[in-house]
Amino acid sequence: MDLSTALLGLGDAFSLTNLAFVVAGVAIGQIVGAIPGIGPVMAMAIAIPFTFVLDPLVAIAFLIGINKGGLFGGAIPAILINTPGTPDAAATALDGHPMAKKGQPKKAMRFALYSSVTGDTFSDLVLITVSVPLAVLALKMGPVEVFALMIFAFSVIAGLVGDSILKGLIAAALGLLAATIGLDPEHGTPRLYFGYFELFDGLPLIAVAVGMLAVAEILRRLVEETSGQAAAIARQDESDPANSRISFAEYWRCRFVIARGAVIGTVLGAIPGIGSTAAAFMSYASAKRSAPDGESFGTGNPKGIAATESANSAVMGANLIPLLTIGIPGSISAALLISAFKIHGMQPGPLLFENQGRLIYGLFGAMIMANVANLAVGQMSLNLWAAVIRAPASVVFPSALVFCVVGVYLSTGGMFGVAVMLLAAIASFLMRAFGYPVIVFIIAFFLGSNFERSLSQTLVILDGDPANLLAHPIAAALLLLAFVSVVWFLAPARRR
Amino acid sequence: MTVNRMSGLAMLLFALAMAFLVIPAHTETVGSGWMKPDTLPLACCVALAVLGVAHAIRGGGTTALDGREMLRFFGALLIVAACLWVMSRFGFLPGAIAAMIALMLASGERRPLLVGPVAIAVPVATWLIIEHLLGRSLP
Repeated sequence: MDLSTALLGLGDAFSLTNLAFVVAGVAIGQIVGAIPGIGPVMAMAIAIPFTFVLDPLVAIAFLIGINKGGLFGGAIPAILINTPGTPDAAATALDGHPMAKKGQPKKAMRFALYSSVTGDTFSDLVLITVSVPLAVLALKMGPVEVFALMIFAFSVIAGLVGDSILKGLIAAALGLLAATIGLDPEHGTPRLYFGYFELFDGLPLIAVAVGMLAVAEILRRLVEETSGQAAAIARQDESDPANSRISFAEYWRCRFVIARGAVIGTVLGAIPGIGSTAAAFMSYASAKRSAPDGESFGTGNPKGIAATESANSAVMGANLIPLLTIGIPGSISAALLISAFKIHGMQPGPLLFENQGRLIYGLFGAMIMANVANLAVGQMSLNLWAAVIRAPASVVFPSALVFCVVGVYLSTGGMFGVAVMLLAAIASFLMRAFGYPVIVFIIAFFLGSNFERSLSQTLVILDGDPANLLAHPIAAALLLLAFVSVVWFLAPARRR
Repeated sequence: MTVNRMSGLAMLLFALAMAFLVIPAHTETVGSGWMKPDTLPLACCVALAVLGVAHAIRGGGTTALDGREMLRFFGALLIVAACLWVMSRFGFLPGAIAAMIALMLASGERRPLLVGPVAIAVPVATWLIIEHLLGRSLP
């Protein structure tokens, strides 16, 4: 493909119609991303039929806008009321919410916005420039390596989230156990469904995530012994402009954290099945471990927000690397995009760049445009969100609960999902009370089906003999690192 | 015995119950392949049992067990469950409005001029957007 095709494609992207649809998509994405249970994936699913009548590039740009807007949108309730709009934003709440409670909600949201856009732009540039070699590299990560990578991710996340690695590992085992409910991927036989045929597909992911992350927190906050007439969180401290703005020096101080998060998100995003939640926590873990002020993570350190938001947003662009180059979607949103591509006559895969290069470069242009739009719309909407939290807690939390019910009902298609959501909220409350990290459970649960598939394939590839691992040096190294990580966290000095 | 150690033992008991009672009764047996349907669930139970024992021995980590908070939480949960039952029987609007009123009152809100309009406006606006604008059905 020649340069002129690329330039023509980029030229196609920068039209007023595209800009309007990208901005609309970003605005919708930010709003739905902020509503727990609905999220950008569902918004994309609803929007796809409406794009039938649009030009292919406009349609894809609109969907990309929704997805990118949702990346930042999920962080808004995580920061303001400690109820992540999307599971990816759960790690953002760790430092974002404490910062908001200190009277700096706008500043925390700005950190999330700037880091999200930076991480996203980085992965888009990687996608545009080196997607093909990166896809080849990602394909070298076979089932054995992916399985080892998941074990490594569990060990790091279990050690870093919470204050006891034993509790973290227990939460991971519980999450994996919950993920085994439903049809066994190897033989297709039902397990642990207790007569509920709705469980053949397993526990609905969205119901579990919303129940554990949002509903439990909403109910806990609703019945706090303070009056519901108070604002949902401490108000923005307007006495000092530094409480709402970010100077360039403050942003620059986070440059390494953001860069590391963007790289982690891009690498993990290029590998199908790992997902942005794990990427966000891996980045948070890495930032916390390497920062000289690591002890202040969890108390409102902006670097915690920067690390998580740059990583989870970088996953989005990187997810498109296997999608565009080899036709494999790396996430649910990428799977939705693939269906939109097909509806509009595009066939993702190795020949896509050859056959529809102009359209693909148009898509790349639209992605860059969506990043700029995300920044602009996010910047403008900060005041709106800051106004929302001025509403009393008695209005914010019951409304959020109704949105959760609606979101889960729509995504699971019935009241069964809503019942699962309530049970997940109970499990989350009990886990918190006994000090087991809920987020480790969620990550293990999310990765559970991929973990089982990778384990099954690994056993076949290794012929059941662990010695054959030596033929897979990357996997062996990752497993060794996982072991070292557990031992490191078990050492008395590391027990916080 | 501390709460942490007790939770470690509870985890051990849970793992044993799952491994010996629940999983055999609710998982089909298959004779072929490296991975049987019960392989991963049983592996998780083994991990839970080992980690539970380790946790019962070592203890450690913080807990936030508060009886009053637990009572209030489960009270609110009961209200939500009742309103969801109303929703499944009588439709979205009655259930959602009942939930809004009950939860606003439970959170300490006592201003009727706020409770009334908000408890009606939020569910009605949601219903209009989802059912009429987006064409998706609610309970």
